[in-house]
Amino acid sequence: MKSNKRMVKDNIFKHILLVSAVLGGLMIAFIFVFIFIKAWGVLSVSGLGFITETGFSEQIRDSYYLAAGEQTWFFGTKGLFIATLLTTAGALLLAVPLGIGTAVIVCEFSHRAIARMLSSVIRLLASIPSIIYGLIGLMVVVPYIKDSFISPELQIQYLYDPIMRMQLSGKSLLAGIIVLGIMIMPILTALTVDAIKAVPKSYKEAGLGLGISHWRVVTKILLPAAKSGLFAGIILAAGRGIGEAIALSMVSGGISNVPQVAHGGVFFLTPVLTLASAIVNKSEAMSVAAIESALFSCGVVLILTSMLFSLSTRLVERAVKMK
Amino acid sequence: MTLSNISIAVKNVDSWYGEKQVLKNINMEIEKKSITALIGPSACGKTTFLKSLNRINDLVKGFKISGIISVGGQDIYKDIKKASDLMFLRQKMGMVFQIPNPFPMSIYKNLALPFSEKNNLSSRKRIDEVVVKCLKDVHLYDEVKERLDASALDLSGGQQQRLCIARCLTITPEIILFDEPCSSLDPISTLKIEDLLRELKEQYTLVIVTHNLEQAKRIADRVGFFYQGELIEYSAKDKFFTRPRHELTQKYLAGKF
Amino acid sequence: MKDLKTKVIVLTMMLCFVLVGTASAAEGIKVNVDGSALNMDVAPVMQEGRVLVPFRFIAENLGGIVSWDAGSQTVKIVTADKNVSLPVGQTTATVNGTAQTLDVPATVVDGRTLVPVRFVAESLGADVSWDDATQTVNVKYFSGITGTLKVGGSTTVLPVAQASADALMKLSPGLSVTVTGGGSGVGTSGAKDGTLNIGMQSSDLKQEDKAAGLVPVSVGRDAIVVIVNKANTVEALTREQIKKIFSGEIKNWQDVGGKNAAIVLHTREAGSGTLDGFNSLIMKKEAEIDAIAEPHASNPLVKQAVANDENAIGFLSLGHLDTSVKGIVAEGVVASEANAATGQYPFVRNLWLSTKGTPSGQAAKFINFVRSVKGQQILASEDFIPLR
Ligand SMILES: Nc1ncnc2c1ncn2[C@@H]1O[C@H](COP(=O)(O)OP(=O)(O)OP(=O)(O)O)[C@@H](O)[C@H]1O
Ligand SMILES: [Mg+2]
Repeated sequence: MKSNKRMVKDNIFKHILLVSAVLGGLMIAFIFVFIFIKAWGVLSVSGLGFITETGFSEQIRDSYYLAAGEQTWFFGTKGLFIATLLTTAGALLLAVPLGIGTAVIVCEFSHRAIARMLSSVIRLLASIPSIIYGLIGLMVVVPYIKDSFISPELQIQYLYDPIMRMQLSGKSLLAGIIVLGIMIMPILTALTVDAIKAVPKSYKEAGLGLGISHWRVVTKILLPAAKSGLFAGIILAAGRGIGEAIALSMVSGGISNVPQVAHGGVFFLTPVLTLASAIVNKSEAMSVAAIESALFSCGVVLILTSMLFSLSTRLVERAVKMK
Repeated sequence: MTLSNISIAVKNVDSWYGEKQVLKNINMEIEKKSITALIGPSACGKTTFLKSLNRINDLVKGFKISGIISVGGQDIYKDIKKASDLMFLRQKMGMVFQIPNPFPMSIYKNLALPFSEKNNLSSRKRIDEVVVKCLKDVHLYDEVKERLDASALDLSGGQQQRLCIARCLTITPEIILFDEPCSSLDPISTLKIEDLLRELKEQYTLVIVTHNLEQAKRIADRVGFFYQGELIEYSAKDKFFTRPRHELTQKYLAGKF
Repeated sequence: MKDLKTKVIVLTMMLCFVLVGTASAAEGIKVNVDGSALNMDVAPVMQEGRVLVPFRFIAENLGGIVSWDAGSQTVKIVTADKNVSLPVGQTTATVNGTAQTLDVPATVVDGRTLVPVRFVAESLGADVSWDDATQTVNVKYFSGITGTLKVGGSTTVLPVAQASADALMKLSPGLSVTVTGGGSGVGTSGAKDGTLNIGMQSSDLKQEDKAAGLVPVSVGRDAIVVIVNKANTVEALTREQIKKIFSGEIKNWQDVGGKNAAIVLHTREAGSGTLDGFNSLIMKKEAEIDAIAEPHASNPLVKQAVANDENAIGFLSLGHLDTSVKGIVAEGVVASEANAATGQYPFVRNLWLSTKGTPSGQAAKFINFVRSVKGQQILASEDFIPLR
């Protein structure tokens, strides 16, 4: 009797799980389909040009101010795409070494009380909403960049630049990289701390027992052993970076420029617009159907980019594991 | 035992985890190039004792120790202050753990890493030689020579334990500490390791914790019996097994615990 | 049908009063609108059992915009949903195009036009009752409303709508008004697709939106002020100069009397009502804002950017101007509320609340509230220019 009852219970539970799994799957599918349908208007007109052509800011403006019939459905987000990749890559370059370094210090090289305090500070930092980082960026990072790298002469010069005119105000690719880097550093640190803590203690004992220095045990044994966790952290941080909108809206400059290598160091001072920021910044103009579709198309590119990124990271991870 | 023959001397050692005392007034001298077996019921402090010898217990929060442990004439707790000296001590003293713990990397790297770390050296040729030699010393080479680049975690338990022993050999220690090295192995692997220990005795001082009385009988030169943190009896193997002095030892050997 | 019925009943009741009533000078008669007394400079009078009050007071407190046509001697009252003409001395009035008979006509007393409070209030949609004991006319229009209202759109209009909603919900606890931003564009699309009951716009509706059935009702005006950093020596610019600066034709402050430095442009994202205002008032389709201008999502962000960069120029709704930046004297006129009200200041535009179809029900009441004396006080306190 009793076991029968339990079986019924188990069965019900199983079915509930199944139904919620199916529902979850359907919901994701629905979201994807919804986004693609909304994006189709622009994607079908723009084709591959959507990521190989430039001029997004102007196209938005033209779509918004022209009458319904004359609106362009062609959009080119090359600038946004490149800005998104550059910002994320730059931020990772900044945050990965710092984050892992901090995690190592927290886990291995600090007094327990200090480690605990650092740990909670990092978790707190990781949970601060991005708009706060945006504000800090706006108040501290942007003025700093302007004061240190942008002279009045440079400002005037670039108003006439033959390759690409621009206003150098401090809001720039560099500001985005720094703010995003600072923002994802705590996430990366927290995940790395977890990854290091998950490494069996016996590896550390064995390493130290062999007379290997603590520092070398960390770099040669613990970190390689924590590799999967580190990769997961990097993927997550990059995902947050690719999708970050608010903070970057505030510090990146908001114009769909493609930074020019020919500009030298000014490359990093170029005002840019990332895909996610574009969706937020331009949403006020969404009452225009073409713009709505263009923004959903940005969403499609965003989704594909993060999917590609996490896929390629997984491939790299597998390759590294093989070794 | 003559003085020159003593590898490790332990005098009046007490130790605690937090408030809890786990070693009580241990006195013991361990002979060079011999096998010393430590036996005793679970939780009596054998592992704690072993880990005190190479100061791996320093990693445990709240661990305290008093008394003197001298290795090669050096008081390892009072005389060693610098991290580099501690490294040097541990390089003199390999340790093989109860559960095989090869690093999560290739078989080759498991051996190459400690060797190149100790000798600060990256000559591939020299490393190759040492890897092969150490693997041969533990009779593992023939089994793995085709797959030195395979992950060490893919080896069987017995192979992993032999790999861990080989890993110790790469740093040419004077002493090797074994904590129940055969507890997770089948009889054949166990015998292989015992043979190996007998060979190693020619060059190294071996201290081995074991729950297997037969094993102690087979390989040990001297045997120590721990009970509730105390060293109850410590004597040469034959005397220990045939004429134990202490009542507790007799009971333990008779299996009356 | 129902409407007609009530009208018939009202008319019958009025007729009864005509037969019974006698004219009398009314001392101590009070008029309450939604619980608070109407303070008038001319006391209400009682005529044939009817209380008459100066038309401006009763109409404006119910959100009406009044006008006096001297030629036809007619009082005109326009609210979001009603349009009442009341010729002085005649017993016929027009309410939303339909002729109505009243028992006591509007009259002129001591040079002031007085109208029957019950007729006017009821024509505008209010409930009117007479408390004989206290000699009080109780007009109930903004109290006792129930239901929900979604208002959204222009962030320029938002603070006014929010404060008005709060005040209205105090009068009508059964009413729930949510006010959201998003910009004029969001207001327009929301009102069009029904996700909003009322859309807020700080730019004039496009012809196509009106064609789609959106009816905009003006609630006040806003002025655009061009701002520069306080350290900037430039004080005044003409529209022509501002246009050339923002189109990138003038790139250096020294070309408009400042120092030798790059002009850093700050603009708003497409869809911003303030940007539309700037475009329609200053750029006037003669030129486009330079594509390198830095776009911002809100007035405060533009202000922040200009306040922090000596070489910056931007524009705000006049209501957002404060001492952190410097307002530019435009065409020789200082940007101020007063100058905008008089029409001297050149860059002024309308603020709208719009509904799909002619406003009715709670939506009409909300709009009328914003246009009422109280609502316009709120609007003025948010630094906009009131309707009257
Ligand atoms: N890290 C630690 N922190 C606190 N107490 C510990 C720790 N390690 C061991 N102990 C305690 O110290 C006592 C001795 O433990 P130890 O590991 O030395 O026993 P053992 O003789 O090796 O036992 P076994 O034969 O089961 O391995 C036990 O009571 C154990 O619970
Ligand atoms: Mg043990």
